[in-house]
Amino acid sequence: MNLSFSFPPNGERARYLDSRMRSELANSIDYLGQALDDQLGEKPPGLAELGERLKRGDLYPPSTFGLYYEISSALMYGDHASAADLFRELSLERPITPELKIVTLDQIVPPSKLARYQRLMDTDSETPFHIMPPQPDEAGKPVERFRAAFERLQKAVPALAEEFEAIIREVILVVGDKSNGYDFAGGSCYLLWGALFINAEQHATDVAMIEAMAHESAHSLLFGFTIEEPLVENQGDERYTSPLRDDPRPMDGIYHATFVSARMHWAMSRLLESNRLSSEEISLVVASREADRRSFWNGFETVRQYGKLSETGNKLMASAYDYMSPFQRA
Amino acid sequence: MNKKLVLDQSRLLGFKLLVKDPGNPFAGSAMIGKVPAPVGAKVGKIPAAALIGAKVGKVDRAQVAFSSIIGAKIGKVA
Repeated sequence: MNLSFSFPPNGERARYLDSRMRSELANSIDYLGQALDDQLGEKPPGLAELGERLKRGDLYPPSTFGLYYEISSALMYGDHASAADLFRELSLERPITPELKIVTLDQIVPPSKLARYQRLMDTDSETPFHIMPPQPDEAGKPVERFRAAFERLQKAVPALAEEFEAIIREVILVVGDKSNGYDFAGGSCYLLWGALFINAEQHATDVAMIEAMAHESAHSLLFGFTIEEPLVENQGDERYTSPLRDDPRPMDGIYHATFVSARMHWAMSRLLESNRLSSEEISLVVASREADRRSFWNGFETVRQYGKLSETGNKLMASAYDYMSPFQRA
Repeated sequence: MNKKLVLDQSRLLGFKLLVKDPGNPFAGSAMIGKVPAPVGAKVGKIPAAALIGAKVGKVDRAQVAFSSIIGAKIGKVA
C-alpha cells in the first residue's frame, strides 16, 4: 500500500498501520531470537513460535508489545536475569480476538500485566503519572458510558470509529493519582501499541467522551506513522509552550498536541454535521471545536518557528495545516 | 549468561528511532494531559494488588531517551 498522509480518518490506512506495526514486532522478535542463539546459544522458550504466529497475522495484545520493549531494554543493559523472567512472561501471551475490549484497570490480569501498564504509562521523569482502577462502586458505569459514547460515534462519525477500531484493541478506564496536584484526561503509549487509557472520572458527556476518543486515537495514529523515523528531530532538552498542557514541553509533545487538536476539530465538525445532537450538545461541540481551533494554531506557530520536522513529520503536519487553513479565525 | 549480547538497534522496533539521531535524547516527551486537581480531590491509593509483580526497572541514559521519544502521550483536561 502507498501510505497516505491525508488528514481525515481512513480505516484502510489504519488497518495497514496496525498490520505494519505488528509485522515490525514480528521481525524484531525474530531478530532477538536469532541474536541470542547466534551469540549466546540461548533459545528462550516460545519465542520462535511467537514470531511465527505474529508473521501469520495472529493478533497479540498491547501487553505483548510492552514485554518486547522491556525484554529488549533488559538485554541491552546486560540484565539477563530480568530478561529471562520477562521471556517466561512473554511465552504466556496469547492471541486476542479483534473486537474492541473496554475494561477497567483492575480487570487487567494477571497483576504483572496491570503493573506493566502502570509502569509503561509512567515514563516521564518530569511528570510522574500513576494510573489506578476506578472505585469499585463506579466500576460498571465508566465502561457503560464509554460504550454508549462509542456507539454514538459509530453512527455520527463512522470514519473515525472505523479508524479507532483498526488501531485500538483495549480501552482501559482508569483514574489518576491527584496527590501530585494534577489530573489527566487520557493517555496512550507507543510501548503499548493498541492500548488507550481514559480517565473514568472525566468526560461526563457523550460529546466530551467522543472528543477524548478523537484526541487519544490521534496520538495512536501518529505512533503508527512513527516507525522508521521520529516526527521531529529537536533536541530533547528543548522546551516550548504547549497548547494542551500548562507546563513547558519538548517539541515532540508540542507536535502531537498540535496534530491531535486538528483531529479533535475535525471530529467536532463531523459531529455537528451529523444532525444527531441535542441543542445542549450542539453548544458543547461548538465550544469544544473553538478551543481545538485555538489550540491548533497556538501549537502550529510553535512548531513552525522551532520544529525540526522529519519527512514524516512534515507530511503529517502539512495535512493538518491544509485541513485547518479555512479556520484561522473564529 | 556472562557473555555480552550485541544488538543492532536499527533492527529493533522502537529502538531504531534512536539510531537515526543518537545525540538527540529528548526528555519528558511522555505527554500527560495535566490539569490542577480540584480542591478537595480524593487522593487515590494504588491497591496493593497492582504492585504485585512490579519490577523496578533500571534507568539509564538510553532508556530515558527511548522512553522519552516514544513514551506515554496523555491528554490534558481543559
